[in-house]
Amino acid sequence: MAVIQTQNLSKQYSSGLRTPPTLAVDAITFSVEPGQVFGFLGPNGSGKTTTIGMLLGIITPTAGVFSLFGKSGPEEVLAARQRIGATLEYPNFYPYLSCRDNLRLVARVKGRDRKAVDEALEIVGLTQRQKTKFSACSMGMKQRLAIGATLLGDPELIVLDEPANGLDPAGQREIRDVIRGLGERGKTIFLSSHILHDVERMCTHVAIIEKGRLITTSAVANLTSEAPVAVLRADGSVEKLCATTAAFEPVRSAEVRGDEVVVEIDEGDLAALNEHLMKEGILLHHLALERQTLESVFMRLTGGDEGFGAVA
Amino acid sequence: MSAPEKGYPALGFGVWTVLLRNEFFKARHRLAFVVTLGFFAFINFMDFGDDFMRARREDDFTHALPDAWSGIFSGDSVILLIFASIAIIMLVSSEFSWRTARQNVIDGLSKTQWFWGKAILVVLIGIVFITTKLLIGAGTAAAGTDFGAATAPVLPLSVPAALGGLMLAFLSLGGLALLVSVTVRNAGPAMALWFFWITLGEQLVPALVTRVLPATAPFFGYLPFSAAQKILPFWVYDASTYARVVARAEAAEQAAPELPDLMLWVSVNAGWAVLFIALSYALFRRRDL
Repeated sequence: MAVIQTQNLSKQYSSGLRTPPTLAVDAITFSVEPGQVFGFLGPNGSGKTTTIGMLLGIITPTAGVFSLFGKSGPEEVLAARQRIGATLEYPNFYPYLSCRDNLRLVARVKGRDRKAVDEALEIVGLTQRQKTKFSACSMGMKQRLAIGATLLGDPELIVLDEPANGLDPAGQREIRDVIRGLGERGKTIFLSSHILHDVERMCTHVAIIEKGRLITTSAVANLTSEAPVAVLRADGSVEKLCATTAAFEPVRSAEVRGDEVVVEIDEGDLAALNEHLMKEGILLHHLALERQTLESVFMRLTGGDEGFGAVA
Repeated sequence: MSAPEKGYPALGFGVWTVLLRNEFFKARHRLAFVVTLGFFAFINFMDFGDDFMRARREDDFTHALPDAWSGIFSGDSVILLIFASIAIIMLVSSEFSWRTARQNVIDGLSKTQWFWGKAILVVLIGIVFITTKLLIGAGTAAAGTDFGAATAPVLPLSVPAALGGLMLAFLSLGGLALLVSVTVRNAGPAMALWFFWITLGEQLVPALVTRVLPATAPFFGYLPFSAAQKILPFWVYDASTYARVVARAEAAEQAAPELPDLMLWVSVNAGWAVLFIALSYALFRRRDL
């Protein structure tokens, strides 16, 4: 039984009489299985938070259905949400209350006692700073408190939206360690993040969305095990280099990425490609193989930065 | 983490206890609420304290029970309605700007449960402000009362009736405060809107309209703030106090106030309270957090 299952889940916002409605999430279908550390990736404004908001009951879907722990009726979903610990976007707490008092409020809603609050503070390393008011906390402390709140009630599913937002590298590492620890304890984690190398290290599965549409969902290992790509650089026009490369038959695809061309080709055909380019009057000054990372896959699938256009 | 308790008590009947405890906890730790309540208490203390001191200085002035009830339950209770409404707006609308309303739902409350938490808060604030006024007003009056010499009951049955009227008037305007809070979702503009309604909507606009169309005057009396004021004075509930008010007016050669149809005005106020709370709920449910 899937922990999360969505079926054509959509959300359309009507902005006003004169502006057309915006389709923030467009018929997304995916599932998260128990024990997975599931990365939910997409550029800013791609619909990640809206999708998570629908799953958490704060945004009403305009179409489609979803189930949590196999439950889909309104009352059942409400009960199922008691098995979820989640934080959305920035940590949202009462600024005038201490870390501990904020957790006490959450603990009451989740039917937990003070001992659970102590445990959550301990896990996220806030025991010493538990009396600090939320408004006086650093961003790292706020993020840790948010994770602490998600852990109250010993949830089976933990949903974290950009948990490393605003953190320095040390803070990011702390959060990464906490999440990794939770994954190792068999928790199902649904994680949205921009930090792709972190996602690659932490997640077992990912879904990538762009402009509200699901582009792919797969095991991380499957995405990154694709054949490496060749990266070419030469003097002169990068467009000409790309077109000439694409015209060489063994090349499966060639794309401009900034001032270089990224080529999908078998390693054994590289020498022949170099020869072909020399015949066409192009002298390469850089030719290297690049392993496929989650970041490179993400950039390729989402269009990446400007100038990243497909030719073949 | 320790193993979860069997079941999830927050979703059962116990949710009401959780909501009450959480709302009370949040309110009493909120400095803005404490300051508002403190300032309200200070105003009452100055008012009733002055009556107490004056009664000790002047022989022809009394501040003792049961006569003092007419001073405790008077038109001045409008101040209570205003202060308590400010407290509601501050406590409710900030839940949206801090996005804690959203987080409360993420943490496991349904939107309906969250809303009922705020409805509980409205009642709680009413109780706290009314109790404060009663403690100070009745406390200073009791201090100046010779209980042995009292010829009439110091706590007549009209007191609970007046208390109910004050609470109902509060629920009507408190409901309006809740409505603007969940609609505007920002304390400053919500407070401004509430005050605009009370001043412009119920004072200035009716004054201008009735100047042009005098026949509309009775209609404006049914608006929430005006209707609330109809059930505040103690003489509305207490026959002997009303007789004194009439006698005083006649002595001053002024027109005595007419006794309002209590059932009508109680119904009007109850109607406003129900309408505002139902509207608040409908609007809150409709919008995403």
